[in-house]
This record gives sequence, C-alpha cells and structure tokens, in this order.
Amino acid sequence: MNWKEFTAATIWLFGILLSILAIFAITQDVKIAVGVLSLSLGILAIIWVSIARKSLSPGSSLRAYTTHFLLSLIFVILFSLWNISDELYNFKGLLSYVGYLFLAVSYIVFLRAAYQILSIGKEFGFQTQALKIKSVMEAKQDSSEINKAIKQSRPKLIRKSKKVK
Amino acid sequence: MVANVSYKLKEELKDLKYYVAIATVNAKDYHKTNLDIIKHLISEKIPGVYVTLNRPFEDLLATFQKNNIDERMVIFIDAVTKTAGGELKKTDNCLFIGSPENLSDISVAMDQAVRAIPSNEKFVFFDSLSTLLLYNHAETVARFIHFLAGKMRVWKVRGIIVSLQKNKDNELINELTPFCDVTIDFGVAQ
Repeated sequence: MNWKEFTAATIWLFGILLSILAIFAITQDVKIAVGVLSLSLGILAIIWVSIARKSLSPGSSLRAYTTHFLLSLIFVILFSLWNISDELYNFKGLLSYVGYLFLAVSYIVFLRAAYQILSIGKEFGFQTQALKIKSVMEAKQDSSEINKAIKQSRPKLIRKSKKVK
Repeated sequence: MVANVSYKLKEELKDLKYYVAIATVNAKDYHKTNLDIIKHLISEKIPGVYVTLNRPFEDLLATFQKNNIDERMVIFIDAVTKTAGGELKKTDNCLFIGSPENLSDISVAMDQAVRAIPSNEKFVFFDSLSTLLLYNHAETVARFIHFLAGKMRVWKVRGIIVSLQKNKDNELINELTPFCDVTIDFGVAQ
C-alpha cells in the first residue's frame, strides 16, 4: 500500500466512523442505530447485486442465482425495516408478526438460491473429466517412455546380432 | 492438409509457448481446418477445452473418432445443441450451455474447465467468432473477445479463436488484432 492509497483508506475509515457516530447521535437509541446501520449495509448490498445482475446474460444460470439472492436480500431488508418501525411505533397484535413473515420468506428464497448454487456446482464442475484427462496423459507418457526405451535398445540388439553372424 | 496446418501453426507461433491467436478460415475448408488444428494440438499431447457454437457435441465426437483424435483429452462446451433442440445426454466431458447469447455461462464454464485440466500446457479452442456475431451485437462480441483474450493470458493457455473469412467479420478482426498475439490466415483453399 502506497502513501496515496493509505491516505484514501484513512479518509474512508474516518468517514464511515463519522457516519456511524452521526447515526447514534441522531437516533440516540442503540437498537435503532444498529438497525439503521444494518439497513444501510443491506441497501449497499442490494445496489451491488443489482448492478451484477444487470451485467449478466439473460437466461444464464448465474443471473438466475443472482435474482434469487437479490430477492432474499430484499426480504432481509424488509425485515430490518419492519424491526426498526416496530421499535419506533411499537406494533401490537398481528402487525408484530409481519417481520417474522419477511424473515421466513427470505430464508425460503435463500434455500432456493442455495439449491441453485448446488446445481451450478454440479453443472460447471469438471473434476471427473479432469481425472480422466490426467489418467489418459499418464498412459500416454508411459507408452512414449516404453517406445523410447525400445528405440534405444534396438541398435544394441542389431549390433549384437551382427557380431554373432 | 494436417501437415500444412501444423507447419503454418509452427511457423507462426514458433517462439510462443502461450498465445492468443485468431485463426481466419475460409468457408470451404472450415471444418477440415478446425479439425487439423485440434489434431495438431492433441498430437503434441496437450489437453484442452473446445467451445463449440457451430457443431453439436455428438457430431463433433463422431468426427473426432472418425479422424482418430483422442476426444478424452478435450472438455467440450456446447452452446448449440440446446438452441437447435437436440437431445441432451448428460456426459462427463461436455457441458451444454443454453445458447451463444449466453456469454456469462460460457465464460464461467470456460474458466472452470480450463482450471480443472491437470496440466501446465493446455489449449482453448473457440469456434467461432462468426457464430457469436450472429447472436450478439458486434460491440458485445468485441468486449467478450477482449475479456477472453485477457483470461487466456491469465490461464496461460494456447488460445485459438476461429473466425470465418467474411467482410463483415474482417472489421471486427481488425479491431481485435491488437488484443491477440497473432492472426493466422488459413484462408487459401487447399
């Protein structure tokens, strides 16, 4: 890390710390402050995933996985948002369970995304073929060594047979 | 003809252990030249990845076997069978990608296949730039080939990107030439 990068990193760190302090100062409640902080991180994650999704080819396995990942992130954010609202307005009755509904849905979508990544792993994994290539190459190496040995020993045999004659 | 192709490859790439080459082939000898390039690489005991956007895997496999090319040394990535609605038999050495438009999956599949090959020397054969142009905008294809050329250097492979000799493709080839080490012209009908 050079001096320029170090200065930039320090400024970034200072900025982040200042924003965290500002959140705590404005909300004056640890629970809400942590909630707002998690929410901002979640929104940043959503922005990054959306950009990634946009640049992937339509119909590709990766784009499908990214879509599910994005959906689960959205539901996690909704859960956080509901949690903060609950802290602020103190929901009663059925409304207090809505947050859990968001969390449950996000886990279901996460499970779907996990299954999709399992399929991608199976689909794009070439380990079986890699092992086959390895054994074919070893076999070829062995046969070429045998041929080499035969070629080297052949002149000696010819010379010996000439001497016998 | 194998001798001609081998000679041309050796002559053009004599000092290069790893390279990114664009091979321009005329339509008449297209399949034969492609086969000869692969035959040349496999005869040097180099395993590799064959990305086909033109001929289905089954067809390629039959041609390889007919021409005594060891198909066990190759991992195939087939982006044509699904598009053509052909039968998809799950095989160890071929991955069927949706269509030539699906550049993300092609990139991921190539990366995984190249990294899986247990050898220091390997090749990547991309067939072809012309087909890619049928399914994607020229700008997208240029960006993809630029990315692919960069990846081929990172993978340290013998990379060959095949293109038909067509006026339409020539503009793109000229644009891509700076990214590649060499352009080999297999154009003259033999």
